[in-house]
Amino acid sequence: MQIEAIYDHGYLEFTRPVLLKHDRIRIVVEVPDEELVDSTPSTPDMQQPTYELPPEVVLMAKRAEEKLDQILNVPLPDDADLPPLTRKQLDRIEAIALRDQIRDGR
Amino acid sequence: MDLLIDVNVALDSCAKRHPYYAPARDAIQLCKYRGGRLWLYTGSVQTLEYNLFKELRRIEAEKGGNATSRQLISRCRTLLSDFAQDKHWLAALAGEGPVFDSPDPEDEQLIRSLDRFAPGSIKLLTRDQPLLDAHPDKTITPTQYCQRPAEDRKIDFIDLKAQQDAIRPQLERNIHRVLHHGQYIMGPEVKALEEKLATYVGVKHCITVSSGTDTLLIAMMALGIGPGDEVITTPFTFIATGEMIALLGARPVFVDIDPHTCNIDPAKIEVAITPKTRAIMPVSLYGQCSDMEAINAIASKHRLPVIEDAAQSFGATYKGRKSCALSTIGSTSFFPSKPLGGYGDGGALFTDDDAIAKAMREIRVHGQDRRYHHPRIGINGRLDTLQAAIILAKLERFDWEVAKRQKVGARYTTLINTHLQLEAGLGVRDNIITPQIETCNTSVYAQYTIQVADRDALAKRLNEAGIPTAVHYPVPLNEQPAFSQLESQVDTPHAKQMSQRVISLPMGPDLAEADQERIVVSLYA
Repeated sequence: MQIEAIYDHGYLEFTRPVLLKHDRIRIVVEVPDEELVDSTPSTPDMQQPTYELPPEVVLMAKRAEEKLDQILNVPLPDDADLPPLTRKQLDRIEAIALRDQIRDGR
Repeated sequence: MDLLIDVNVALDSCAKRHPYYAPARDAIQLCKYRGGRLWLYTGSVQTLEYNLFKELRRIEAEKGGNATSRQLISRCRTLLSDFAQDKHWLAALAGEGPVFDSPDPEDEQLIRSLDRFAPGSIKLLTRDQPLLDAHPDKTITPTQYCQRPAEDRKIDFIDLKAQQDAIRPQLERNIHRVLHHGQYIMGPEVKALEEKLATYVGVKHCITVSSGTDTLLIAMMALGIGPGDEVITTPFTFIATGEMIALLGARPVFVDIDPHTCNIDPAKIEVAITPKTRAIMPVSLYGQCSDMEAINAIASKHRLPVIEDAAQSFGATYKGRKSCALSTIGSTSFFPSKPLGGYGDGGALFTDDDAIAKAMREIRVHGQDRRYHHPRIGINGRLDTLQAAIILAKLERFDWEVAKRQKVGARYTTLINTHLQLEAGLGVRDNIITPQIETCNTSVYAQYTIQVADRDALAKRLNEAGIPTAVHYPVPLNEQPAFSQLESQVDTPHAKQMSQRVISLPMGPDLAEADQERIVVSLYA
């Protein structure tokens, strides 16, 4: 079946809640031809870097990325060892999701 | 230039969101390299956490993972803690609260928060296009920042910013505490500070005062010094030392200095004593104590009190005892540039003598011993509660700062003398004399002051290289027009000579080694 979705800054969201059997599936999206642009990235920050950094900064950036990768790649703590999410935390997660929905509807 | 990091850039950095991650990472590292500060807004803590959680959940879903919400929240907090550890937290102030009329309240808070900085000194680092369009003068993208040419990196003569950054939470807490309790005059922080300072110095009484200058005035008033009296002191000092003597109608008697330390020469004091002499006031210059034992011995012989003007030496020691605990009265200044300084004027007096302490306490509040009862004339000489609160915050870091100052001072001396040896080996004339610290002293290096033959040429050269300097002091007090009417003053050739040779270099506990090296290299460039 066809379902309407909104594309917003790299993300697709269905305009109405949809429950799917699997967490990850392949879907085909029809994009209006007139919306396609050439391959040039739309904002300077999406382009390849157009600046030169001093060698010390290149080294600092490399170290910062290595440190980040260490954190991202370390195994997650065991779920059983973590405290349950509080009502407040769940409310906040819901609030952020609701805020995003409101923003998407602007 | 500083950068306030918007939530989207923080999330790009923490979640490695491509293609935005690289410019964000590069902009942040470049800002650090250039000496700018990176700020996170405390009001954004919730948005950071829960938006990062949303992002990590999306990434997890994309890769088909099954991490729970609890696990992802835990990962969020690790990432954000790590990201924040080398950033500064910018407090959300009351003026940034009423934003509900704004199209985006959080964006409005961020933009308003920039107003507390000097214009142009900070921008919001963001890739939010509506913000960039609406506030082009206040915003910048990571790529734009990386494309900006480097600004000349200035060295501060005294870097109070780095100190403030290190103790910002304590400062803000202490200041707001005063704002909330409202006791702006003689509030609890004044008493708390006096107790801590008395303990630190090792004396019975500490009386905080409105300024270092006023400490000298109050000390002499407590000793009953007035018209017709004489006070022996050094001419090689800040005007306040001689000025307060003259203000009381007494006569400053200037005695020459020891050229090795620039402090008063004890060997020249006794000959200056007359029947009118009422006190001796040595100055512990540049952070090193005068030879207090020798001075006290002379004073004791003639039954004279000694007031140590320790405006520059708080934290220093003489034969293992703290400056301000070395004589009848010790006096110090909390001017912002002093080793222990506030954010305005302030000072303190120290003594073990109960009667003198009582007198000084009364004098600082218009001579009052109880409300509206004035046994003596005094002045308005109280330290503001806000200043006491600030100094209390700074006191927490003071021991560390003293140790760092000593390290920086010693390193200057080593670097300069090593360079001098190299120059001597090349046949270049040795022309810089580094400070001499007596073996019985530790110095807090309120100034790092060298002697050179051609001071003006060196000052010009350093200033052109972006290195600030100062001269402490270009004119001895006995050559000041204000003291031109003084009679029978002896010559002070060493003070005169030093006034033409000394120049102070940037100094402080947070002076970076690279900056120090740059300064020393510039001495010879």
